[in-house]
Amino acid sequence: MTSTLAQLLIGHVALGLLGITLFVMVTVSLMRNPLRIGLIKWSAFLGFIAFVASWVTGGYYYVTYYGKAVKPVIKAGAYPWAHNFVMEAKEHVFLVLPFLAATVWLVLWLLGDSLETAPGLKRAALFLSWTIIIIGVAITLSGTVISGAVIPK
Amino acid sequence: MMGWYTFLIVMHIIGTALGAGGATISDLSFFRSVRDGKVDRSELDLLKTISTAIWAGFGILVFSGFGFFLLYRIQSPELGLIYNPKLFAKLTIVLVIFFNGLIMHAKVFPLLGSFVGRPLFNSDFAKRATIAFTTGAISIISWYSALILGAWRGLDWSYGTIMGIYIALVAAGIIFANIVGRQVIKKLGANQL
Repeated sequence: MTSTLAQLLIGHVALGLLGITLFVMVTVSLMRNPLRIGLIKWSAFLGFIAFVASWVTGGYYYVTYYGKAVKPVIKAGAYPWAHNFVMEAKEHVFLVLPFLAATVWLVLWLLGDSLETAPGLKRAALFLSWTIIIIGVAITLSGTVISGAVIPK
Repeated sequence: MMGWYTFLIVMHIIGTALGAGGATISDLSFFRSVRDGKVDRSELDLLKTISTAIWAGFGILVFSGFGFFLLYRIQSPELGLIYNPKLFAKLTIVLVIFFNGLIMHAKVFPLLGSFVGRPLFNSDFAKRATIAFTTGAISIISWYSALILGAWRGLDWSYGTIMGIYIALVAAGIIFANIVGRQVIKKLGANQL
């Protein structure tokens, strides 16, 4: 693996974790009273950016390196299901994250000032934010399982 | 110059110290706060500040933990260090800490906030306090379990054995915390009448 690819892999993981961290901040802030609207809006915006950046770095690594150098090692190893099932699932499920994050960011950015007076809006934003965290954690664990299965002989 | 491995070890220790230490202080502060039969604003603010420190510790722990994953993945994947029952057990416990912390924010802080300045020795609080005792017990046992697993070199138990012991400890902790917590509330009620 070249140092550029290693940096992309590190960036992919770190940015994904950062995205989840920022949406944890959104979720926890939405549960606090009084609401800190500015913090909530900026956390959602930066969380969305982090997910997109994680997608781009991971996508480049996947297209240029994973298929030809990593996938064959996993499939020939002791845990071929890490690619056949986990990676196949991950590469479809992760697509939900940037779009969900964009939805939460736009809703909070445009309607954030109404959160105090519209409990339904707050509940919906909280639900979506929880969903992002749960999917984000599942994707993170998938990545760990896939990376762990790369054991060259 | 400090290498990446040493840097990650240092960060992992700082994260664990903040998290396990914060969980301990948080549980002690909670029982100290309710001992006089009420929670005032400054006590609740202290609990929230400790919670922020625990979240910071958790964040440092998770980022440094994934740093180790990346280091192994990039520098020595042939060792196959990631598929390890102890590591998977630790990951599971870290997940429990994470979701338990979110539940605390969703349920426990609003509960304590709604009782600021009001007496705690009533059936309403006793009924609703189960979540506070339960999440407090899960938090402290999980943090120390993760700490012990991280420090215990050479532990070669299966995932099932480690998780079985952990679940038994958590169950015992939840029962103990609820019994002691209810006794404290009952005692407070008797003293106040």
